[in-house]
Amino acid sequence: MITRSHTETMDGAHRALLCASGPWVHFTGVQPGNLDGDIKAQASDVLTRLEALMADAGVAQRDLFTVTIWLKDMRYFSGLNAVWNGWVDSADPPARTCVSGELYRPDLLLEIVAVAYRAEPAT
Amino acid sequence: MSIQKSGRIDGLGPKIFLGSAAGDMASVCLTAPDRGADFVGQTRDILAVIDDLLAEMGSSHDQIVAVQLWLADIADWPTFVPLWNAWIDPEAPPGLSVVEMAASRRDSLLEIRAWATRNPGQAAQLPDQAAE
Repeated sequence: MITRSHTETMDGAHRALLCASGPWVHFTGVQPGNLDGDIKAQASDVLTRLEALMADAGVAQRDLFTVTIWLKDMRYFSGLNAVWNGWVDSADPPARTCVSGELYRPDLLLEIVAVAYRAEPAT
Repeated sequence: MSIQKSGRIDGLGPKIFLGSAAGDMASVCLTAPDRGADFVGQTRDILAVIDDLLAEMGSSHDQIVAVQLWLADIADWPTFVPLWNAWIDPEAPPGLSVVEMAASRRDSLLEIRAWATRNPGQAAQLPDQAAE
């Protein structure tokens, strides 16, 4: 049984930001809502959106299994990390990968793909 | 239960399997088998291989939960969109992330990884696995 929610289109491509099956919850291609901002603004924005999706799925930061951040350019790495370090539980940060690549539109600076594992699947 | 693998590749390049599955989760990742094809052809070939390998592992593209798409040139993104929409169920779509990334070969125009749930009991029995 797969639960799909927060469906939207990206240049017309249908997709679901949240897909869950059993204990596994996939947050795919989470982007900032406001692209008129610098890397710190966009990073805060996207983490806020991820947190809202996590709340809907019933998972907390400690439940994150992997986090992949696709960054438009590594020149934004320090700005991203400053925001990241303010967001994570410094005693128990998630596992994270960060790789750079151009994203689907030029003003988008980062997007997040995260997988969480929940011990008690939401019904 | 051991990991089930599917889609063995042997040749001059790396020896790999394109797909693997464990428990109720399967994953497939590949570039196009025919690099002479244009972007539409490469995309269709990759999606067809994903369907075949997921079926071998007891899954199907209706059970895909997340897709990572890498494009050698982000300018091909608009061409990908209708092919994607025709492949997935627009009423119950998977997740999708798209990033531009240099490919291992200049004639590979895209690479796709898909994650799907599966029903291990429905996995096709391959000859070498049926013997076990």
